[in-house]
Amino acid sequence: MKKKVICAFIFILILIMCYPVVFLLTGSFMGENELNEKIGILFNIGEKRYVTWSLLPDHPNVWSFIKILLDSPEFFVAFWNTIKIAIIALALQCAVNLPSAWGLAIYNFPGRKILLKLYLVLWILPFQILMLPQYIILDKLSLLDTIWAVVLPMVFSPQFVLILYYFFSKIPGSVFDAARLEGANEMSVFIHVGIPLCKPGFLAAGVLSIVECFNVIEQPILFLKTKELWPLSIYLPNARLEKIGENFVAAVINVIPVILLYLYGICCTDNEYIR
Amino acid sequence: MLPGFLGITVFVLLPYLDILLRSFNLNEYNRTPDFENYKIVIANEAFRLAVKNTFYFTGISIPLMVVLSLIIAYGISSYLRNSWLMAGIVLPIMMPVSTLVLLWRTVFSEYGFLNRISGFAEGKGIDWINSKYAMAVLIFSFLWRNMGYAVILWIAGIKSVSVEILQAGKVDGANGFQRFFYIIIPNLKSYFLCIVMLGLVNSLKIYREIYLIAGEYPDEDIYMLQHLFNNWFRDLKVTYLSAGAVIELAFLLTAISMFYIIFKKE
Amino acid sequence: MLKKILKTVSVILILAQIFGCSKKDEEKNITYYREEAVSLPDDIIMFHDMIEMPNGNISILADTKTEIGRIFELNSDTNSWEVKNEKWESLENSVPFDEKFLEEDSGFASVLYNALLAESEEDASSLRPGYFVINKDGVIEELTLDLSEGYESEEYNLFTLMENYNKQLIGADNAQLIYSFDMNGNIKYINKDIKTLNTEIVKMIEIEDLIYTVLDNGEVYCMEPGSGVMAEGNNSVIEYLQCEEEDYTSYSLYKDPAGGKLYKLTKEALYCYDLGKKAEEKLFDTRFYDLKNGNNFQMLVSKDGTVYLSYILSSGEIRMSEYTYDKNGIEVRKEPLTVYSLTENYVLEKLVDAFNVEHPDTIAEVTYGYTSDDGKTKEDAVQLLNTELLSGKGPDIIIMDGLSEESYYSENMLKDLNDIIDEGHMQKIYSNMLHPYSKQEGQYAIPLGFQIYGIIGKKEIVNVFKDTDAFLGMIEAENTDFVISDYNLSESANILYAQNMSKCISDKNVNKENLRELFGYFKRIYDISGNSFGENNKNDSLFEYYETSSMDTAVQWIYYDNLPFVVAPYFNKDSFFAAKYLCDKEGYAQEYVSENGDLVYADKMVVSVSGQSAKDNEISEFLEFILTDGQDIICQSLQMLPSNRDKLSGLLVDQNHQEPYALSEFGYGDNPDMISIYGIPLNQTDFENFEKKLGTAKKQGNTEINVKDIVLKGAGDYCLGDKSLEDAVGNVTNQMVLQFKE
Repeated sequence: MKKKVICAFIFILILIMCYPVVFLLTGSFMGENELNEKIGILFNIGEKRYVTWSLLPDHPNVWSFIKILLDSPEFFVAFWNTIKIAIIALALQCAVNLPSAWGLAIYNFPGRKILLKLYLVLWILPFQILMLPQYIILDKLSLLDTIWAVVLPMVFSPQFVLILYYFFSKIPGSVFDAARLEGANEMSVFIHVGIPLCKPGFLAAGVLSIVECFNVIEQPILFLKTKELWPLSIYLPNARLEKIGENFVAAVINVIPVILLYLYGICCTDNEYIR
Repeated sequence: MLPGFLGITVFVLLPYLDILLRSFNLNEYNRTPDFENYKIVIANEAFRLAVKNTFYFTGISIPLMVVLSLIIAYGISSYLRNSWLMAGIVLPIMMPVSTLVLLWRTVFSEYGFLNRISGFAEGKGIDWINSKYAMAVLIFSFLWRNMGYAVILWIAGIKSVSVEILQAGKVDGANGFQRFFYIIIPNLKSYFLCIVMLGLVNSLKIYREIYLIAGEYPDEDIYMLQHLFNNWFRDLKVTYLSAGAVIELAFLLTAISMFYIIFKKE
Repeated sequence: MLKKILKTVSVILILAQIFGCSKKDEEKNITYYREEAVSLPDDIIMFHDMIEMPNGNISILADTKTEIGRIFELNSDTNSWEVKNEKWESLENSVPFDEKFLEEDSGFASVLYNALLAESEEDASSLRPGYFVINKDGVIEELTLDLSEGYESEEYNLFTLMENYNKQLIGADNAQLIYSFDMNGNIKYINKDIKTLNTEIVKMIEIEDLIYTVLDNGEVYCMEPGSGVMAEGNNSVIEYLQCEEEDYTSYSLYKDPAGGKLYKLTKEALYCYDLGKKAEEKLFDTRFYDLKNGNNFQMLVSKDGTVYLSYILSSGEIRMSEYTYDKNGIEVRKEPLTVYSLTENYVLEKLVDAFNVEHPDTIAEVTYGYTSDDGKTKEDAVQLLNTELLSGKGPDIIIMDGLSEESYYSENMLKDLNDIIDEGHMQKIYSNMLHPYSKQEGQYAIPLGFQIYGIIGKKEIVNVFKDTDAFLGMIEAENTDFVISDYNLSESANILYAQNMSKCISDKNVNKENLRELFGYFKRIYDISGNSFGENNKNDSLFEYYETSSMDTAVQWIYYDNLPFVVAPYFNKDSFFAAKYLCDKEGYAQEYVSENGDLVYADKMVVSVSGQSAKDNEISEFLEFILTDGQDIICQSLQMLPSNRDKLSGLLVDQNHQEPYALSEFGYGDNPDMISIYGIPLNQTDFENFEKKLGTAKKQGNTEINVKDIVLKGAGDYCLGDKSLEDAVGNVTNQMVLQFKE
């Protein structure tokens, strides 16, 4: 009985969490008239009555989909830009941040604690403050207006390192000692023991990082001048009613890769979770 | 391997040290580093308002998030086995902010769902976002978005408590509740720290949402530090901005250090 | 091992990018072609075609003011133009829309036949196009071309000749059908393929016995000239001809008669494709030359490799330049002067174009913060501008409209203009207009133009205009429909704001009482405005102030609907003239918006110079230009009045012509009669009286963008019923207080 109640409660919770995605999906299938009817009031259109919404669209149509997928080449350019940024950033983060996290967690070297504190501090600085100095640095390196202007700051953000650090530090040292006893050198310990064990942490940090890539707004506007380089997040303009249908579709397409990646990640680590 | 690794950390650090140095540079007047800027900033009314609001917001939402997500995580880990379901929980964090804002407007604006459900007559509802409940709306939004993540991390943590200890506890006669408090919680220390930190960082990012909903000058109660920084930047008062940022940083640093000390001691 | 590889690879990638980027910068600095202007024969109004004569001279086919279809040959010895043909007498009264050389001394003309003879409307509507071949003796033969396949009614269908191949006239009509006529006008074939592609033909050219047609959608269609059948073209030629541009006004092609080289001009550069070697080469970048300001190019490359280009500037002037190869290369121009404006501003573009034409050595470029179709918001644009300025990289000249100029000044980001501009120029500008921007340390901005607002109407109404309450009361009593209509609702709101806002703010505090009163006024004019457009208003704010018509068009409604008054801005000379006519001859009264007895004005195009810029010479050149000759462009613009005293007087005063004349005509609805709006130029006394008032005019206060936006939006919410008075006022007060605190 207790179990059922709790299960039900959890289900409801999950439903609430998932609602926005459902909202997105139904919205993307609605035609403009329907959208006007339902949420037009938010934009001062139509009579003043309450916003309505339904789980399924009354008159589903794929007009918005067609418009975006077939009629807007800029959309695709932006989409691929975002994908490019995400992939490159993730790859570089693996190459650079994984070892750093590993080192921080496993090895005790002088200055470690200070470094850790420094990372923590740097993590918290909001972008408004970093904006100007980063711009200047990127300018000096002539990296403005290239894809690296967005990728590099993301790669070198402490977020990835710190999350992985936590996960690495969870792993009991005995595992490593065992490996070392068996004659593996540091590198193999890292590759064959460390990496497999950190999969859940990697999933966590990776998803956060990709979500970041898909949601990045301020950096591209500041650092990228040519429109061809802009990622999808800027292409979703502030919701205006004329383009709201397309907005929905674009948002759906924005969300889907992330979801897919996450599910894929779960697949890989499935055995770890279920016991 | 060590030298290579050090090389990498240096590369990471450089952008950031530079930034730090910069921010200090900007705080100094041409010749003498004086605290003039700091005095001005601290005295500034808008700054005080923003600090108060930010404190309030963080102070409420982070503990709430931590505790709530822990409870949920425990519930899920004990009674549910399916990890696919958990994917649903993480969904909120993946939504693009602009769509999220639209969703909130459908719920919270004067013509939104909340008013409808509460039975207000048409056109007479409250615009929740601009009323004194603005803070509550914000906290709700924050919780909704970030809880999923915290839950997942907690679950990972709970699962990492080795089964034997739990069995031992059961044998010793502890019931579920006691098991929870005395065995699991102590083991979750580092996860706790991680989640608090993540929560802190994300709570500072809520600026984007408020900005999209309410513009540059939202209701008094939700005017956060970042609004101030953004507007200072618009007005080119970069020195104030840096001074403010350093103050914010100092606060956070002390808070975190205290945290660390308290919890590492245990 | 793997990790080391990954590490090195990523480092290499990063370094490569860095170096790659910096190398790009260096390539752009040298050009190998020297540009020289070629003076054209006098009186040319339209340039049609160019051809190279067997003796190496260039011949052009052009129209002058008095004659059409003249062939001028440039005598290379005397470097002067000689007329080479008799004028086309039978076409004297026709209006040509296209002329082409067939051979050096024969041509083809498409005209609107005898258009100049059309005296009545019926004549004009029955004009037909005429197509004529003019052969070497000057004999003109008319060809009847059957274009009926294109459109139903022939007069709307025009044929443009594009290629002359093998005694065939090949070209296209408006429906994008390709025709081939023989020299007698008989149709050889019609090709309908392009029509189905739903695109437009940009250029057609014959290469190696095939006709290549470059299309608007980026494709190239290839055709057999003899039969009109689609053919498989040479792929590398097609790739070369394809143009990814959105704008084809600069696209031009030329194939040299020997058949070896194909030249292509795009907005960015001039390219040459060698048909024999199948190699493409870029000859020069257009940015370094005067021709980048032009449109509608005609290109010719002579046997010795000199490139001749004719083009039309935005001022309407026709120019021709020749480009000769200089193997030593020429140092690139210095970097262009960047002029920044937050939003699109056509007057600025015209100013910059005119400057570029007059000062060919200095290039000025306009950059916009955000435009309507690039997805950025105003806040993003301001952030970007600030970042650039703070990091030392920003634009050289900034137009402050829309920005909060005070902060740029107080952070020492702007230069003192007294150091850059001659005092003589400064003195010509009204000193009270300079005053808001001058501080102890200097003058940091100059407004190029200004606007004032006013009312024209019945004497009783105008007399109480200063007292808003009484004024509104009078209007309400009038009970005329549409006395405030949706087009001048925002104008009226603007005036209410101008007259009453300063009472509401005192010393960083908001006077709620006065604010409530002001909102009350807003509500009253909204209620009076007899339309329900407000609810369907798609703008964010009901009263969002956007520039509408000026006084000379607003008075239409006095003429037509007998409205008791109109409020509108005065920002061109016609406004003043129309007002004067109505006041002097028809018994109306006029008043300018003022506050506490002083005229209120809003300034436009406020120019200042960024502190980081090092291009002092160019900047002073530019500033001098816009304060002197450039003011003529401001005079021509219909959006503002010049702030230069002499120019303003020149614009408004005409002592010698003091009789009323028709400024414009308009008709409305189903009444076919056009009504004329009359105006009288000001005389010297009028102008002096006006100047007296202008001399003490005060800049409209509280126009900081944020404050005005906040107040207008709040008022809009209240009027539409979205918020109660208390809520709206409270909300606005909170926002303003927050802002003041910062």
